[in-house]
Amino acid sequence: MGNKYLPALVCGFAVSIFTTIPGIKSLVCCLFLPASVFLTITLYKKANKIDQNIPIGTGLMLGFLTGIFAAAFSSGFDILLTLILRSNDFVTAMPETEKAIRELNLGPMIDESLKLMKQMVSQIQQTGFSFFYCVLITISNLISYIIFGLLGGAISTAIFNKRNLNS
Amino acid sequence: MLVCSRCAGIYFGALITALVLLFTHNINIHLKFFFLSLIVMIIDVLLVNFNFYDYNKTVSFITGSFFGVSSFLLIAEETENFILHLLPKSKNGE
Repeated sequence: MGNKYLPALVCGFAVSIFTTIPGIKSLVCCLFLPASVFLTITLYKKANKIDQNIPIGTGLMLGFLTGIFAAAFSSGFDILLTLILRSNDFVTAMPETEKAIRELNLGPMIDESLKLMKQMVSQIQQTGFSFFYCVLITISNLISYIIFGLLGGAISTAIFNKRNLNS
Repeated sequence: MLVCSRCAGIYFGALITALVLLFTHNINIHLKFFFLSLIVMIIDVLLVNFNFYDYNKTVSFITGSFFGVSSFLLIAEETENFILHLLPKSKNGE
């Protein structure tokens, strides 16, 4: 049982950098994150000199850790850039989001949600910081990155073990 | 919750594979099949993202389901191997 944290930390940080690049940030979740988990497992195997098969539980754990680190760094970068620029994707997409939400006709609770969202936009535009936005983006990143990290962990473990079997 | 047609394809492929696996015990997928499905899907994503052609629901669904089938088979095979590996240990433990 070697150190799982360092490879996950390195790869989680590396993948979070891609979230700051416009255009490819939409590919991070479903493409770069599973790829980074593959890299995490490679680093883990090399660091601990493991030649034999690794258990699927270890792969899932590495994927989980990479997802957590990626979410933490990605949220940090997002909050930092929002603080500097006083704008982000959430602010720029707000008019379209409002239009789309209103088209769904979900009832009176939507007005409260939109009020909260507009408050967040206003806070970001004025001060560059909204506590609720920080919480929201962190939770959202954690959920999605952990799911895709686990998925990447399962697939990567299967690939590594199948390669071992073939060789 | 609404998902894009590519994701719907992945889930559909995984669901169909799961249903098929209920009636068969022989899980064996070649890595080439997995990588082929992955590459096809990535090429579709990149070409749409860089505006080489417009987003097509049918193409996305097909490439997604292709990937869903292969990734589910890979995970199922690995899980089965892991469980089979655990079985003798539990017998010894008894």
